[in-house]
Amino acid sequence: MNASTEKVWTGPLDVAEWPEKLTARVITPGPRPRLHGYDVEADLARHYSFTETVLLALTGDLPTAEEARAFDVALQFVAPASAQEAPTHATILARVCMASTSQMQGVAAIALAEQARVVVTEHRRWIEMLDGPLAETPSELCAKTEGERESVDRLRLALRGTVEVPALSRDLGRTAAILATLHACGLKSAESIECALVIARLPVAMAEALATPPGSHREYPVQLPGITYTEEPS
Amino acid sequence: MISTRVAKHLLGENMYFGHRALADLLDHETSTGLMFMAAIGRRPTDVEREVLDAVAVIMTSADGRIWPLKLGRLVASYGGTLAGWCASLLTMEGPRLGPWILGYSARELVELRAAIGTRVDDDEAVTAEAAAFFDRKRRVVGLGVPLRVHDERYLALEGWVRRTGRAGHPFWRIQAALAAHARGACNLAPNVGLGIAAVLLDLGYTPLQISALVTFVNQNVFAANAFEAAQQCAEEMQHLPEECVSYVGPPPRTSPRAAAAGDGSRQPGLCR
Repeated sequence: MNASTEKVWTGPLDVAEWPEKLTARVITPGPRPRLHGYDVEADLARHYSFTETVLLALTGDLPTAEEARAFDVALQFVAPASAQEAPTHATILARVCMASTSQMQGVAAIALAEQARVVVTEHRRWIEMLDGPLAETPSELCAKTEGERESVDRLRLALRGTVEVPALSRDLGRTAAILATLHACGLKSAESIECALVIARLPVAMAEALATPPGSHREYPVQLPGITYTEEPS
Repeated sequence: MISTRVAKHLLGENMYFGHRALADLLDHETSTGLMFMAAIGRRPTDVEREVLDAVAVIMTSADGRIWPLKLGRLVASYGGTLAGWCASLLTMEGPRLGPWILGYSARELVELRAAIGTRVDDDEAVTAEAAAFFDRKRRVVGLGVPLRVHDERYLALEGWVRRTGRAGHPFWRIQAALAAHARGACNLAPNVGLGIAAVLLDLGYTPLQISALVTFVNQNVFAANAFEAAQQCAEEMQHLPEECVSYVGPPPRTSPRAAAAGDGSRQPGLCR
C-alpha cells in the first residue's frame, strides 16, 4: 500500500488531548533513584534497613527506630503463610503444574492480595476506629481462643521497647492486634495495610512452593478438599 | 465437601453442566454456548446464542491504548501472553470499567424496574419513574460516554435491537426512557453498558450473571492485545526513556541518620 492509498485511521483517542509524560510521585526515574526524596543508594542503603525503606515507601515518611522495629515484628507475625491457606496452597499447586518462578509469583501475589483484601475489608471499621480515641472493642474482634490470646501475648512481648499500641491493652484477636500494630507503625490507610500484608507473606508462600518438587502431580492430594459433582440446580 | 455443577472427568467422557461433552455437545454447541454455560449453568437457546454473539461483536473495542488493554500489553511485553491477559482481567472485577461493570448497569435498571412495578406497559409511568430515578441519583452506571458525543456501540446495539424485534421488551424500554431523560436533562448519552444490560435483563439473567457473561464473551479484546504484545516484546513498552517520566514527588532531602553522619552536606550526584 503506497502513501496515497493508505488509510488514515483517526479515532477519539487520537483527537483528545493527553499528557505527554507519565507522572511519578514516589521514585525518581533515572540512574540515581530517590525514594520520596531520599537518595536510595547513598542515603537509605547506608543508614536504613530494607523494612524501614518499605515503611518509607508505603507512608512517605521515614520511620523512627521504634516504629521500624515494631513494623519488623508485625511483618514477622504476618509472614507465616502456611500451606493450609489458599495463597500458599495455590502457589504449591502452580509448582506442581510446573509453572515458572514468575508464574508462581504471579499466582502467589494475586492470591495473597485477595486474602489481604478480605482481611482488610472485614476489619475496615476497626482500622477507622484506630484513627480516633480508643472506643469499646467490638466483640467480634476479641480473642476467641486461648491460642489466640497467647499469640497476642507474644506480640506484646516482642513489641516491648518499640511503639505504644494502645489497642493492645484490650483482649484482641490476633488479626486485630496485628492490624493495630501496623497502624501504630504509621500505616494509617487500609490500602497501605493491605500492601504490607502481601509484602510480608510473599517470601514464605514462594519458599513453600519452591520446596515442592516441580511436576509432582501424583504426590498432590487431588481430593483435598473434596469436590463433588452434582447436576442439581444451584 | 464442596459441591460443583461445572464438570466431572469420567473414564472416556467429560461431563459439563450435566451434558456429556464428547457425546452431546460435540457438533451441537459453539464456543459462545460453552461460555454461556459457564455463566448461566445451562445450555443456551438458539436465540440466546445469537444475542450473545451480537453482544460479543458489539463489545469488540480493542484499541491497545485503552487503559486495561494497555496495562495487559505492558505486562505481556516480557513475552508472557497469559500474564498480560490475566493482568488486564484483574482490573475488571468491580464497578469501574470494562465488561464487568455491565452488571452494575443492570442493577440500576433492576432498581428502576422495581420502582415502576406493575406499570411497566404504561409508557408515561416508565418515563416519569425514569426521570425521577435519574434526578434522584444523578450518577447512573451506564450513562456517560468518554471522549465522544455518542457511544457508537450503543447506536449499533440500538439498530440491532430494532432489527431483531426487541425494542418493545420491558428493560429495553426502561433504559431508553432513562437515556432519553438523561440526554435531555444533562446532555448525558447512554453507553453500550446500559443497552446491553437491558437486552440481557430482558432474557432473564441476574446482574451478576450479566457481569460474568459479558466478560466471558468479551475475552477476545484482552487476548488479542496480550497475544500480540507478547510476541512483540517491545522495548518501548518494557522501559520508557527517562525524559518521558516527570517526577512530582518530594524534592531531594537528606535523612536524619545521614545528616547525623555528616552525609547531608554532600551534593546529590557527586562521586565520593
